[in-house]
Amino acid sequence: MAYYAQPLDRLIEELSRLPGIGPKTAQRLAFYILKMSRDRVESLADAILQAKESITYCSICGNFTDVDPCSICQTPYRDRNIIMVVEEPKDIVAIEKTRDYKGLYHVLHGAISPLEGIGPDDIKIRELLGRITPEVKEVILATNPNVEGEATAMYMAKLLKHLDVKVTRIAHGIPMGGDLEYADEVTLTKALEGRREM
Amino acid sequence: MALYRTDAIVLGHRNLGEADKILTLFSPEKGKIHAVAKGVRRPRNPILAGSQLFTYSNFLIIEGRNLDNISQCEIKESFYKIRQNLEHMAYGLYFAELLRVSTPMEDKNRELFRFFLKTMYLLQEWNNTELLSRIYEIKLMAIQGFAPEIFRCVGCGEKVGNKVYFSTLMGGILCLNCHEKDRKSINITPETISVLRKMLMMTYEELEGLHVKEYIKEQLKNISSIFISHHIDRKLKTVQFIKDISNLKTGKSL
Repeated sequence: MAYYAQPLDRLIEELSRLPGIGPKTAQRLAFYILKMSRDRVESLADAILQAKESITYCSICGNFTDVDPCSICQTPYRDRNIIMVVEEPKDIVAIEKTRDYKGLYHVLHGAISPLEGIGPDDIKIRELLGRITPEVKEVILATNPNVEGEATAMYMAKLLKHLDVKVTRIAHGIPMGGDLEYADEVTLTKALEGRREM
Repeated sequence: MALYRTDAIVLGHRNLGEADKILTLFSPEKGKIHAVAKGVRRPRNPILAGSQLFTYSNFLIIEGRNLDNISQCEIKESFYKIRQNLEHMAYGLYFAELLRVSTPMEDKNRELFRFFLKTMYLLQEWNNTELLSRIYEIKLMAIQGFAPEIFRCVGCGEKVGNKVYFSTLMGGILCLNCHEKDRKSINITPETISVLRKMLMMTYEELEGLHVKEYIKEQLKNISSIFISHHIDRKLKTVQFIKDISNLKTGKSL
């Protein structure tokens, strides 16, 4: 027996395919959409379509962009001697929020994950090698500090060793506002290793 | 809801929802289990470090209707050294995957747990990861009940001569007279069998300095890989990563 009218059922089904949205949340969202004004619903549908149609990958760094090359790769004000390698486009947003980094980026679109069968050929490592020109002096490996991220960083460090470029890894340690008592031993060891003179 | 405390090592993980993960744990009391680690994809989560692969911890787990939930964890050994070396990490992932796919759910086996834990400790120390891997494979298969017969011919029960064949189908070695019983049996040297016997019977400590000739290494690798894929009946994903890394060493990558 169908509980909902067919169009509503379809909407709930489509919404529940989104990540982190279960059947209950999908139902709640669908009912909310039905209560929204026609203008807002049109605007939402249009925004989804527009984003899908106009957003592509930057041909240089792999970031999401509506103009190719992306605004970061195009701007003359950024330091072209440094490339920071990140796993996902959302990592660029996180780094940009610091307003401290002025170099370029390279998005891998994933990390090496042997347990899931994702190897070096499945992410954009080859594209990075093509970007290492004599102008590039440093590559910062900013992959996540988990097993997959570290495997990716170590693999790339080995690959880049043969090229004349400095390879660095972002530091790991105690988060700001954190508590030493609750920090785990690995983080503390890493924090100790990366200590600085004051 | 019942609570229980258990030591366990993390063999794998899968993302769940927005910030959670389902961990595959291997425990001496419970065997292989799945448990949800809530919020571990957010920084500052207290069980974040304990949810990392290879980490050996004491977990406090709440029994759930479908899946159990991890409430607390205290790290006993993070095996971080394994994660600092690409080759060791690749073999660590392989060992974990091999254990995961060859072990049924909730089948407790203390001997297997101790063996795996010891292998992980040794992986941090040994430089000869390939030797460690061959010993691990044969010993693991033996503990899981798939030990090959390598002392007598599986066809006639007699001692084998200088011509030895290894048959995965029949689960052991065949002599010259019997090797026709399995047309896919592989010809191996008596030296290889002798090394294989040592690997099966001796402890890790006794085998540490074992010198294995190049051609024996190749034969062992070959029969081991065929033997494992015959018994677990699936392709191991981590094997390709080990190949990728050895290509990196020889400069054949990308």
